[in-house]
Amino acid sequence: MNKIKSFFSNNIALVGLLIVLLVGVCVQRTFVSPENLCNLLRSASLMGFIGIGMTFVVLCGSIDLSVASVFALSGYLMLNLSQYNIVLALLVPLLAGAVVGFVNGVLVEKLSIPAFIATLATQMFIRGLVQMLCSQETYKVESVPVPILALGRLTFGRILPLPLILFVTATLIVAFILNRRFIGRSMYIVGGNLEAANMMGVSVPRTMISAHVLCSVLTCIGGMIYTSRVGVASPLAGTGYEMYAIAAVVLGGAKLTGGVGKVSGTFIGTLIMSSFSNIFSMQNILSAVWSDVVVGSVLLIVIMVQAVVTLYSKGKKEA
Amino acid sequence: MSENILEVRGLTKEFAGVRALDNIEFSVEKGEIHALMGENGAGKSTLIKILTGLYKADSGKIIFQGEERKFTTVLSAQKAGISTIYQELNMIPYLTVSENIFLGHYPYNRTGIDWKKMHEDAQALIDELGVDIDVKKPLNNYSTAKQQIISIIRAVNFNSRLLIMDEPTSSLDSNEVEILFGIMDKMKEKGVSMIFISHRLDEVYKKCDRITVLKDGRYMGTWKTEDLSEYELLKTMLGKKEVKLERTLPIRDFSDKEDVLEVKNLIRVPYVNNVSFRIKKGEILGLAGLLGAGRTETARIIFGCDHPDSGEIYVEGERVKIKSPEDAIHAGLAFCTENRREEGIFPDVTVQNNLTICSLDQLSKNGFINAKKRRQLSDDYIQKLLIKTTGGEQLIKNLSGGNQQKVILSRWMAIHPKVIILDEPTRGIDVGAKAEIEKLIHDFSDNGISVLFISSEMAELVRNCDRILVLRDGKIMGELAGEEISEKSIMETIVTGKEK
Amino acid sequence: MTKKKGITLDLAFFKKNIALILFLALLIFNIIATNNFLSWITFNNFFKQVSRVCLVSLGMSLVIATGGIDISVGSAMALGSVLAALGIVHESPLLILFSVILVIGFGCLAGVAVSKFAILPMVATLALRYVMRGMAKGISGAANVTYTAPKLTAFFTQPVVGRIPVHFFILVIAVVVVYVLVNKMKLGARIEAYGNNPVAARNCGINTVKIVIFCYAVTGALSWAAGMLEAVVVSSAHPSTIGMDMEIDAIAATLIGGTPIDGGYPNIIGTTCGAFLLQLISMMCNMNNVSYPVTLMLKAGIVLAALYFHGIGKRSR
Repeated sequence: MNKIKSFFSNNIALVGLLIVLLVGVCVQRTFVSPENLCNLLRSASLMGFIGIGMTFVVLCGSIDLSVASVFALSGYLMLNLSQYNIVLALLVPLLAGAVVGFVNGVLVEKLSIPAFIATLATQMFIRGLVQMLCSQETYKVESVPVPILALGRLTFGRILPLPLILFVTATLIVAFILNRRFIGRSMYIVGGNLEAANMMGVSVPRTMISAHVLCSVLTCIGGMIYTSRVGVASPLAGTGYEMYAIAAVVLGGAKLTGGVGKVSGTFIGTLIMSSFSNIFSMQNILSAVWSDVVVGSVLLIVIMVQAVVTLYSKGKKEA
Repeated sequence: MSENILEVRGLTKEFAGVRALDNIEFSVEKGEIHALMGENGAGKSTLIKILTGLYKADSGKIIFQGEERKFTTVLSAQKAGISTIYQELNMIPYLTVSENIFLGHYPYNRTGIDWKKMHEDAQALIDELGVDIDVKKPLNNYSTAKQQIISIIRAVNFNSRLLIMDEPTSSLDSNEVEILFGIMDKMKEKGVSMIFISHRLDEVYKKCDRITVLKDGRYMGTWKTEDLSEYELLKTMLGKKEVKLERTLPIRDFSDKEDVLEVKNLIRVPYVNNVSFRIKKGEILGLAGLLGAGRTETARIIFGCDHPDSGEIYVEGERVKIKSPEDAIHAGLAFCTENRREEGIFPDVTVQNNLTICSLDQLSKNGFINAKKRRQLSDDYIQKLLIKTTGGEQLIKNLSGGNQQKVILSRWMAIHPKVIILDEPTRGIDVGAKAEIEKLIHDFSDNGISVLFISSEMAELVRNCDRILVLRDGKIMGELAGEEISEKSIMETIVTGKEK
Repeated sequence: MTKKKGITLDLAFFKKNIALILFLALLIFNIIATNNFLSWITFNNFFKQVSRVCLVSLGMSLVIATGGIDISVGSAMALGSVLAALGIVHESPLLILFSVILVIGFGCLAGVAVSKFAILPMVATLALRYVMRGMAKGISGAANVTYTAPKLTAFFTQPVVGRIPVHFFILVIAVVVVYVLVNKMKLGARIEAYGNNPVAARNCGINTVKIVIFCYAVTGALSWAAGMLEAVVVSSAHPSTIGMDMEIDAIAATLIGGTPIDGGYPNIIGTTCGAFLLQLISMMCNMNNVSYPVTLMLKAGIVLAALYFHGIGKRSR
């Protein structure tokens, strides 16, 4: 009994996913059709990259609101460069992401500007930049090279999309970094107890900047896949994804104050979020625009419950 | 005589011209538990910070395991073999116990951190001590005592030969203290030395082999525990020969006055243990005791800053329920906290606004503040208390400590409380201002305001109190009144208690 | 020490009034350099646009003064104006009233989440940002809500006194009210105290929860008003464009104005000057054909510069 209880309290996200899936089946039988599941997983992969990237920064106790714009930026860069050189088209966006992440990290850690303000400013800045580059319109390219298109569109055996493979691979790599590498552990340490991190000789700036860089780079991969899928780059691409990502991370059991969280949780959180959107698009009662309302409410409720649980459990500790 | 693991010679450290440590001599033998005693400002924490690499000494030598060492970072001290056990400071609450033990010294295999080996090794270390801890659980699943045990295990696993235990027991209950002591014994058998800092005399006498006393940054001596009586220890720690102990207060009789505040059976485990007392109108009641005796904690509970486990509070005979400072102020209480800077002043706010923040209700009508009245009130107090400021518009952070304190006292005077609780009102204040504040305490009393006066300076209590309650480990040891009050009697009461 | 006093004092004055000084400097520059700048049209345009930024910034100043932040202001504007527009379409005063109450309610919710549940203000308002924007879209079917209310439109487009637009008066009233609230009322004194030292504020018997909720609620109300101002000019409310990027403007105005990011005295005059300065920059960009994206980038830069200039938070993160 106790084991079951502790399993569920450790994997609340999984329970949430099951509930959402159950709701999905109830709403629409075709929810579990291979085509739909394939769709669901593909869209999950796009946003999932931001989510697993966000896991790094949230673990450090920081936050990154600039992901949405970085997402758009990477798409534009890839599409633009694909006219000249495919290798550059794949590498430059990642590099740009790394630069943005580095700037975020420096603003937050070295200039100690509160993370939400610093990254809000970079969000606006990069959005402006992308709009300027796109001349405020949807950006199209005459002919997109096949490899670039394949990035988002290739599907193996009709049900296994390439983005999903990439996403799962990325999740595994992130899990490896977080669990088996010192830099990953130091993110937990920095987020869990900053003072202790300093005392233990863990370099806080290095950890923080790495987290922001990794976050932005992963976001760029997501943005590139997304752009490849839709075939055009829009300056408004990714708007609102920062909240989806944060929601996925929080649903996955991470604490926004830092130090707690797992990439597997974020993975499940992402699936929950995507199933959500998927179900939303399948039902006819509420129009799709309400999904933001539901997501926002869920995020708020989850963090409120988290806060109550933390306050409650403070008094109760196992002796 | 066994060999010394640590020797400190002629250690001196100055902060802005003030000697925090003056030529300290100190040594710890291998495998001993050595108590480091001293009140606030004695220099204990400075000494520890130098030993652990947080501060650099101005002069003097640290010889550790036979070699002269200079530690520049905590890490370098740790690597050499000196670790500090704080309450929770260098632990990561959400990570597993085993990871906390191996933090920064992870075992690796070919692919990365080897969790299996880490868990096994950690569990082996825990089992060896016979403690019931599952290393795969997060650290914050466990009580403070167990977290400290884990902290000790980590330190020893890092090859620490000297553990500095900074008030490890202050938030533990008696059972937990026993568990911790058991571990300390085992460490001692292993030849690990410990510097033990505690304000609980019982613990010091129970566990420690030798005692070193610091006072005002000077080394007072080292004794074998059995050679130093509790009374002698207190006298060395607290006694001041140079200060005159004349009472500035006449002996007054309050027996015909009514009770203003009554506290019944206040309990907050483990800080406050069944404290009860009454204060009469206009009376000055002192709370004496060592640090951590539960004086501040009692005050904070009365004022609603912390919540008691149980207990009742009566103001002028009526039971009041105090859940927040707001309620306390409503009931006629006022509280001048010991941390003036963190919990008292609004640093970037003007003197005038700092002074009138609690009396806004009486200064305003329909929510609008009467600026004239407000300025009047603030100017009155600035004049009356001789607060040195360029005017009410100056920011309070630019005032000296003494003047800041006077602003805070004015803040409370302005609401005419029935009882004012003063927690270390003269801390960090120069001698001249101290005298003025002591005089203000008498003014409170003369105006019929009762005072609950907490101070670590016994001389201050002796000079200014009608009655003194002596606390030790959260319990009232006795009560002294009128002519009984003297430094000697307070110390004796701390040691032996006093029959009523 | 004493020798330097004169210089440090001047610097302090400069620092304190940076928003005003920059605004005046830019104003004078424009009067001299930009053609047709000094005209009633410019004046009208300026106040029509600055009024809404300024209203939101006033609320933001209160929230930032408590050490918080509210990034849901733009969405609050959208939700309020869309609902109110529907109210006008359906000639239902009740719906208009409901729009105010709802937006203020969301403000209170943010305040409760922050003060009672100790949730990071940024996260709580991030969630509400999407909730409110989503509701605005959902209620309107993600389409523009157009209405015809000639009297109302005329009231807001025709000048009232002489050539001065009604926006000017609304702005003045709002600034005066918030200024009085902050500087002349009990509540203002308590907000300042709470922002400066929350622990001490609690020890002084201040009901900290009430104060925080109040500040977020006022921000909601002011955002509603700003949304109405934006909608009424074009007789329609578009759920996705109204109040877009408003949060960055409001934060920028507040920070330039000198309200400390980690809480403290809400400098209302500073915020007003900050909003004026930002609007002037926008106008300049506009009149000189600098595109919106570049203006946005410029504003992001200004936020970071303002933070850097005023000295960054003591208790960061």
